[in-house]
Amino acid sequence: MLGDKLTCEVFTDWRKGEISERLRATLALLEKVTLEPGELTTGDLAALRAAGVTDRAILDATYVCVGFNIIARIADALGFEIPSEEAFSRAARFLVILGYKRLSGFWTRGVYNRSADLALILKSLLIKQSIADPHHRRLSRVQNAVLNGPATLPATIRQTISEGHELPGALGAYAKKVAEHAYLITDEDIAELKQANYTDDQIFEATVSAALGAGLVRLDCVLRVLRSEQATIVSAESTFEETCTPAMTRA
Amino acid sequence: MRLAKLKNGHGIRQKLLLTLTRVLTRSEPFDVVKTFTYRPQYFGRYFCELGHAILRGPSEWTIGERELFGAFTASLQHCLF
Repeated sequence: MLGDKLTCEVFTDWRKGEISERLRATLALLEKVTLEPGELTTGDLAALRAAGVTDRAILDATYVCVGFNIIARIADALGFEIPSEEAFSRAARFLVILGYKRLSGFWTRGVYNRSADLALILKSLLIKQSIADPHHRRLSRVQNAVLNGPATLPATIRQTISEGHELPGALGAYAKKVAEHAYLITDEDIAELKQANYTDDQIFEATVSAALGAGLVRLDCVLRVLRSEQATIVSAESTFEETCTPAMTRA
Repeated sequence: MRLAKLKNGHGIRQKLLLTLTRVLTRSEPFDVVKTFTYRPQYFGRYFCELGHAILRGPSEWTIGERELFGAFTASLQHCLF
């Protein structure tokens, strides 16, 4: 883990602080992915390419960003308490020993949907991807459980929420708020849902579906830009072969 | 935590883990842990598997750099957790 000082520096001053160009270019990308994903263009990758950041490194950083877009929304919407400094350092030590991985396995065991998993593997084999996506299968499992798995809200509702389509009523308004600005959610928003007879489980599922949807949209934006960049290179190369114009080579 | 069920509606196995955490850390487990262990087959289990691969699996980025990306992303959303 990085020291507090460096972390603070990065948050307040990352544009000019003493960090590597590679890190700075990546943070700029992640900022755009988080705040205005729809505005991403291949031009946003130029600084990363200049700093020597590979496709794989861009994807890895994007996945971290997507994961935290999801969990931060859930934390804000459900009102996670912020642990005290003391409790945090005590638990951090414990987490290092325990690891995230321990939270899967024994403690969370249950009925495992193997056929769905097999279907995902087959699907990923059939759809050949131009950009190797290292975490595609694990993300599909999350997607499958949250949006299609057994739950109290019907799958169609969960899918509508995650795709960001309009849903009438209190639940629709809440889901939209989770996706767009979860940090504005208050106790009253949750109270309103309970008044409309939504159970804790249904609110939980709506929250996770909306947060996941917001993460998936961001991943798609980055994948789209990476693929279109690749397509530009391929077409530029083929034009180069045909016409032998040096101007067509990539700068 | 705004949903009571995520506070104490866990299954037996997960209750055991939370109690163990309470004893070992001598403090209340974080809300994020309670969320991951509530109906883990719905979300927590698969999300943790993904999270482990992303943050701890092989990558050109160090673990510290990846944790930084995460904290940076959360801070952009005014999220302090």
